[in-house]
Amino acid sequence: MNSSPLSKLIRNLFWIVPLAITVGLWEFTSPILFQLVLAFIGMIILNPVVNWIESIIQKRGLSVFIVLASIIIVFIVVLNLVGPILSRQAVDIQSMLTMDTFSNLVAKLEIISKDLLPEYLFLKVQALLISMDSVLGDIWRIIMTDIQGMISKAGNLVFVVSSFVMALIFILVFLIFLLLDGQNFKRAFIHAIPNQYFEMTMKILDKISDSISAYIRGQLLAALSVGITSVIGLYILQWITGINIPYTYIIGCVAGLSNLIPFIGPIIGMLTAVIVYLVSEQVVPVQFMYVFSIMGIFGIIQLIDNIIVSPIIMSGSVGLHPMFVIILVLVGGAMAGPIGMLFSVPVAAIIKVIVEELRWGFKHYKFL
Amino acid sequence: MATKNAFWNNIFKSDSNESSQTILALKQVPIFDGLSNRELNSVSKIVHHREYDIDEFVFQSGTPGLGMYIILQGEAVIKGVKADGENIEFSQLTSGDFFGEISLISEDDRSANAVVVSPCKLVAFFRSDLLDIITCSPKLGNKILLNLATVLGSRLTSTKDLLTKMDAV
Repeated sequence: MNSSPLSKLIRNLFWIVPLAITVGLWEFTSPILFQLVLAFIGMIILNPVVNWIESIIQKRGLSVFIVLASIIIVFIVVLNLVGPILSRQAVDIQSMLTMDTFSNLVAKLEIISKDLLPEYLFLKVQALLISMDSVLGDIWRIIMTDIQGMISKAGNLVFVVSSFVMALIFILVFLIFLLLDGQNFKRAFIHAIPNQYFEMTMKILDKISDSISAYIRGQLLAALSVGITSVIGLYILQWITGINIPYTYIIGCVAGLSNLIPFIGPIIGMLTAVIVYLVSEQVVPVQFMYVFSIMGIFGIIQLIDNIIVSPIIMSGSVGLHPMFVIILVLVGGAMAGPIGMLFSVPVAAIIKVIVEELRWGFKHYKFL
Repeated sequence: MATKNAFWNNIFKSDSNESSQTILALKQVPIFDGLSNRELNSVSKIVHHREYDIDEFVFQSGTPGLGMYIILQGEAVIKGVKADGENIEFSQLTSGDFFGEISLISEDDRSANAVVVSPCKLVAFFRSDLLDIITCSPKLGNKILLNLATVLGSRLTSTKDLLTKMDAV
């Protein structure tokens, strides 16, 4: 084998050139990269369905068409049914996020603690709430700004129809190519790997793609299940107790998405529901028992997720230590706000899987 | 061959020529017996083409087994080391021969080394490719699995015969 530096460079141009262009023109390439990542996640989710249909009709192209056409139809139907409710609730919640609501929340907390605690403890809690008023107010203000920012961003994304539709079309095109030719892209990549690392690369790529697919699929299904069960649970609770918990769909979305963060996520979903309950108009007087019931509902949701849903979809945790998760969430939050908090753990989990598989490969193929 | 890059070859290759050469090679391998031309064509699209120089290892003993190789051109040997440390050559292989087929079934580590003795063009067919076939085309997957079982069965029989002969000696 000729392995002069020039030969090595030419051999590796196929990845050096695209990488250099991507990094050099990051401002322009990052949105495309983001769309590619979304298309890749779409491929991971849809590939098993496409494979299953292909095994019946024996035509890959037609299978991809059937799956995507069905998804688009379902998407349009769901958007028409849930979309208006979701956007109305988002606008309502945005207008509700004022400092008045905060005073209301503190007042309700006082009422609850009065019910629950003995007098001397209640007085202490009241004193604590008054002394921490400015701190809590600051925290509320920060959270309010973040959430309002997120809602307006999501609003912009939806309402700037042209760019949203264009992005969606590009994601769809990438998704079609990945579903049709994903294996060929992998083969072309492996083709360029030197013989010495060929089997190891193949094995590592298979293991990484299996692990990441299982993780992403599991997390998304778990999030979906937690979101749906939260909405159902809250409806049942309202029906039984007569309390009013508005913005149920938004709470469902928050609970589902925050479920991506282990340990902390379930608490975020529960706190959102409790806060929404406390700050909204109630016919039945606010009592601790009802707050406890909301907590109980979220406990049951987690129980369903942990005992029934997760084992079925095998979305086992990737073994990140709780302390590490907290650090990740804080770093993610500092880097990119609530979005950063949400995705820091999945991204870290994926990086952990890649590093573990690389280590496994290098060890078993005797390069370590 | 030495300075060629497989990736650039892949881009500028003559597709039809390589594909027909691969189909011819697949036809000679008992694992693909009884496959229609259409099925052979679909297998030829998912296999990997590799080129090896003299003394290059195709795989090494003790590494995880991934799949089998078919020799399109060139020669290779399968070597191992006896318990007493002595090198032993199990077989010499030439164009049309195949090796490593046990790895299509078992994920165990390779039990021998495969070394190229004259520049080789190989076709690699891996367990992940077989699993893809089983998922997407169960009928084709079953044919390959049945052929594979037949090949492994006959290997077992000949090993048993060999052991019986050795016992007799």
